Amino acid sequence: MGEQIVLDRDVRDWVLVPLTMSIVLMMLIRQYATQVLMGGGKSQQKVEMKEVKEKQALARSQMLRGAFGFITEGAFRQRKAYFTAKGSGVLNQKSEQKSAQEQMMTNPDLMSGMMKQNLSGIVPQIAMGTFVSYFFSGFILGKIPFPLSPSFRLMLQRGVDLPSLDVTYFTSLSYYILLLFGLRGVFMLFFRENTIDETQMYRQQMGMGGGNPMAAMTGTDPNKALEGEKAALEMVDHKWKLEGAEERAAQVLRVRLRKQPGKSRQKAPAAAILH
Amino acid sequence: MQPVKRQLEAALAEVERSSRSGGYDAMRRYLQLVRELKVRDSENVALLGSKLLKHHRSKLQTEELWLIMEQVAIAAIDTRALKLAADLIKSIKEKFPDSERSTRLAEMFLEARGSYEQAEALILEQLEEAPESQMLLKRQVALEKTKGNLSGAIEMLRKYVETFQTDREAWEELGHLYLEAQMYPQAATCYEELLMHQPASAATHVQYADVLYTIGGPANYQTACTHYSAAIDISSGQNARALYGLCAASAQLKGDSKGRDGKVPPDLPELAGEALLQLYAKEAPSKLPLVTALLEAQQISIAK
Repeated sequence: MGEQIVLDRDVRDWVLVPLTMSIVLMMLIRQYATQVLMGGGKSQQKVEMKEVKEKQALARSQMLRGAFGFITEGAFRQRKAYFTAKGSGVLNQKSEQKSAQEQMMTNPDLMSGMMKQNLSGIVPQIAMGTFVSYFFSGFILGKIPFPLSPSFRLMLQRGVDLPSLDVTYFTSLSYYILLLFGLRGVFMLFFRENTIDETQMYRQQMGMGGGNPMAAMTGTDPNKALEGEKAALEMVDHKWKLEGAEERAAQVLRVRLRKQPGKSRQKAPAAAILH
Repeated sequence: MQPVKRQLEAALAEVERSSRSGGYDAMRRYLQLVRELKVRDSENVALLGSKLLKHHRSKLQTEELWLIMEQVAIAAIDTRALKLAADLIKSIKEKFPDSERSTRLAEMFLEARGSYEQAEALILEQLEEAPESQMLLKRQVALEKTKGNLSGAIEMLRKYVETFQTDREAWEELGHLYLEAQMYPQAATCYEELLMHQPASAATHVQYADVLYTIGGPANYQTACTHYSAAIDISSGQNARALYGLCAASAQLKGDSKGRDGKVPPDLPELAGEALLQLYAKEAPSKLPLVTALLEAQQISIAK
């Protein structure tokens, strides 16, 4: 345990420096390649007006279900009819949003866009991984200045299978992985918002306002959402929340008039109406 | 409303005080405050903003610089300082040639200059690229309004809210437009939408009740009464317009035999009248006789 391992100086000159350089260069190339492929970040998808309308109608219907108590029964019925009337009701229409497969078929842009994203992300990763494991595997690059438990062996000593080696020594392959993830922050400083960030790319794919391939794949069917909303809205029975507002107002005024003008703020009844 | 006004005044006073030492920070803070509160104080913004851009341009951070440029450009259009606006918009347009916001500025400038056709062409051209741009669709409505084409503006905005159904501001504007066109039932529908968005706002209740009162008819007076009451409840009797409205609506109901079905406490109009008198005695004693006369005309007797 106590014995020191002396590292050859050539390891520094022929492994540490070239490895770091090649990773940095690779990331630079990847950065610029993605920018070119994406066409300067203009990969935003066109939003279909009908889809917007549908989503907004859903949101408004939800709002109606939440706040119907503040409008009169006639007004509520009018809106309910707008949403759920047989035939013409907005929630009865067939959804304009396409399912995932359809979207793939009809929108080649989407597909090639995803391809580009994946290609620019995965291909260099694979190439780099092969490159590094071919040329630089099996070297011990350095030592961490603090002790670690043996369970870190898998993380720090990738590529060197020596159970008797102290855990604090790390290998070239582990160094590569560390740099791969650690350098993103450094690159962020240079390129600001343009840095390719996988998590962001992923999020973009997941939550793109208009076309939403991932969500559609995981089973959110726009037609089902409309149906569900319609059923929920039909269940709602109108109840006017302002019933008795006059009585409450009279109460408020009575309290106010009895007291002196300055300190007559009565807050409790005002709260009652909101719940 | 009051705190907003006070905040602005305080910031302006700060600008005054620090004007001898350049006033860079104070001016910047004032402009920021106006942006954050989303108020329109064009005269001061144009004045201070142009001063700031003239003398301290190099001190501003890039992002803030362009925000201030946009803000001052709009204020300049408002105050008809078209020369200033043109310069600002030109440099904004050079910096962000493809941006929707710079297109909007250019359109506003054309509109202010009175070149309506050019402005319209500009919007239509941009809309072809981005048909879902809410900003430009709203500009379209505003352009119709500037032209004085009320029905055109209503038609455009109707189409807009048909798609963007949860846009509260759009519903409010549509309500205003309908009121202007004297289409009260339609306006009432818009204000109902507003009520659902902000049921805790006394002003919304009062607006809606005003519209109902204008339409008239016992049922509407009754509903208006309820909404005025709700407004009184929310504002704890501070809202003078709600008190006036309640008096007026219940005076209308008094003439109608069926109007009262026992829901309204019989002393409510008197209470409202009394609260009004109290409010006026405190805030504007000189106008007290006017209120007394009005209440008498509405046959609301105040127990002294």
